[in-house]
Amino acid sequence: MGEQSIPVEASVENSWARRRDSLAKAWYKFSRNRLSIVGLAMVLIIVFLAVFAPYVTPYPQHAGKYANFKARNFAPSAEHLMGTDVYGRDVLTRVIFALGNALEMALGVLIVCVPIGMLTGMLAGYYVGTWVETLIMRITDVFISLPPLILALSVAAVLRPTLMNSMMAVTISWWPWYTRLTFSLASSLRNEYYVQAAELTGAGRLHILFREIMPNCASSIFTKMALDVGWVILVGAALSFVGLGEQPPRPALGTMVADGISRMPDQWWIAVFPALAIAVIVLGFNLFGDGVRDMLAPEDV
Amino acid sequence: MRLGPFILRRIAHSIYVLFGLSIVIFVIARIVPGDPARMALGPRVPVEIVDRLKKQMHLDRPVPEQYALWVWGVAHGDLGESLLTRRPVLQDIREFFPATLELVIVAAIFIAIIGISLGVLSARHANTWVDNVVRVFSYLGIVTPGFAWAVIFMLVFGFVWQVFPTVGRLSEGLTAPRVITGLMTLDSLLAGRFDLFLNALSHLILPAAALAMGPMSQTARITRSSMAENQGKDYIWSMVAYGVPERVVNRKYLLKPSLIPTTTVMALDIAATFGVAFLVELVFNYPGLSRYGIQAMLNKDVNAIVGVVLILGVVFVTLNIAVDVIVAYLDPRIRLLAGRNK
Repeated sequence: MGEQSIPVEASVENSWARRRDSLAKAWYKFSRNRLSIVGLAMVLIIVFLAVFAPYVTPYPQHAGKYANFKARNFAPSAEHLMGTDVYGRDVLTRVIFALGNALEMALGVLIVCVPIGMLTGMLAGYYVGTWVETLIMRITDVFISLPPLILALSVAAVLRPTLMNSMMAVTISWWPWYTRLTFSLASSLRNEYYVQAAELTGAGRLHILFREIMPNCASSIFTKMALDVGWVILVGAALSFVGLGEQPPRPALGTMVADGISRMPDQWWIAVFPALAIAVIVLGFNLFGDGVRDMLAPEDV
Repeated sequence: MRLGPFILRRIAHSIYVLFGLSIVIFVIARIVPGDPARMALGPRVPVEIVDRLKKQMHLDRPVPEQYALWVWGVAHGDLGESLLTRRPVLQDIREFFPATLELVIVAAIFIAIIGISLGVLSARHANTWVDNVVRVFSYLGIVTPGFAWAVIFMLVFGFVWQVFPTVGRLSEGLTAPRVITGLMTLDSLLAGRFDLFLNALSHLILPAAALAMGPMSQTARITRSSMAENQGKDYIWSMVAYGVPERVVNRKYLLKPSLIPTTTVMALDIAATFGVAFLVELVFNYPGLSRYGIQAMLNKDVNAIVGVVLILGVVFVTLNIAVDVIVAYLDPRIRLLAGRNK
């Protein structure tokens, strides 16, 4: 007994060391590009602000129904770093609360899109050349025949404007892109030797789909997800910009920009800071996503 | 595969896609929103009138029949009546589409000329400060949404330096030229009014620039990376070794193949500007199809939504075919591959 426990412990220690090693390697690959670290920092700050919005914002009560007409349209100052809007609400506070809504939207969309896209893509890729592929890929062709923004707008238009419905609208226009990505990966993976070997040893279809093909699609999918958080937020902002997203008084970046336009140029801060916030979010997730790509990319020799 | 059959196959595929799209749009528009007739007339109108409108719109029939009737109508150029403007949707689209088209054309010119030039500049001066400036610029261009650029341009060039007008297609007090093509600039020229042409053009600059920023940056990036990739290829070295002048090598042997990925991405991005135009037209209060579409969407004007989206679908699918044909022309390998698959 005593003799046997030693190698077990050693192997546990070994696997820990290996895991630490691979983590260190991943971090090395991620951080080789300094911009990725900037992106990571931006993402962490955005998530932190969004999660702790009620505690870090100077005027949390301004996020909802609130009006103080004595304080309307104040220019940016030490008290209101981004000024106040037509109702006297602190723009900075509302921007930070809007971050939460934006992230919620992106997560909601991706949580639905990615599994649907992966499953359909893997099926089409594994059964490439059969009616399964034809059916799935022809359906995605139809949904891809319009720019996502237009399709999302028209779906959002017929639904009631809520956060949930705008998530649904974006999801409908977004999933085919995951199907396409997974399809292109899976259809080439299915010819790899290890998949054929699994087939030869009698592995079931489920095993091949989920244990052989899926893990090897994961890195590309993760990269796309990291980048897409920014893009989904952008489309979400576009929806709320035209009035088809989150409704006032709940803060949404697009709505804030739209409201501010009529106040241009005198009260420029009402529109400009939320617009900048959108750009910063998309930039952050883009830089971060590039880092994820570097990290997950196979090593170049 | 020769170019002819390739084009034919591409067109057949897109007819199928449009057919599928029409079903998707129709289902979205007819099933989800409840009662379009009631929505069009408002809550106070008596039931009999609502029922009459329903009958008129075939809303009392089963959905597949509604779809068949609708397709029949579309095939005869009848997209139904807009509930908002009380005019045939087709007439509305005919009036508003040229304005958006004009905007997108000017944006496309910006995208192609400035985007490719920036990319070439960046590649020629790779890893110098010129390259870095272009790269930072294009990153900013990509991550900032079109409507944010619209706001920024409006502030900077419309208000701070009042160089360009910020509202509409023509300045107040000017009468538009007789409509021939619907493109304000072209109509002005056809009417021989050069002053109107300049005025219309100046109204296009800011919205078109706002539309162009993202795709332009994307174009610059793609051009740079594909030129950098091709720069190391053997055939470039052999041309240099043959003593072909650098300028000729650059233009004829480096730029042309490098433009293939650029063309694909650029054309799709240009098509996508029809979507971003929805927002930019709103900022500049520009009376185009997208503003019409937004009005329709906000008022649940179902016929108009379906019409606008379908027209944009046709535009998008057509542009897609055009890209594929251009790329197949530029790169014979693609044609060969397409022939081998089937």
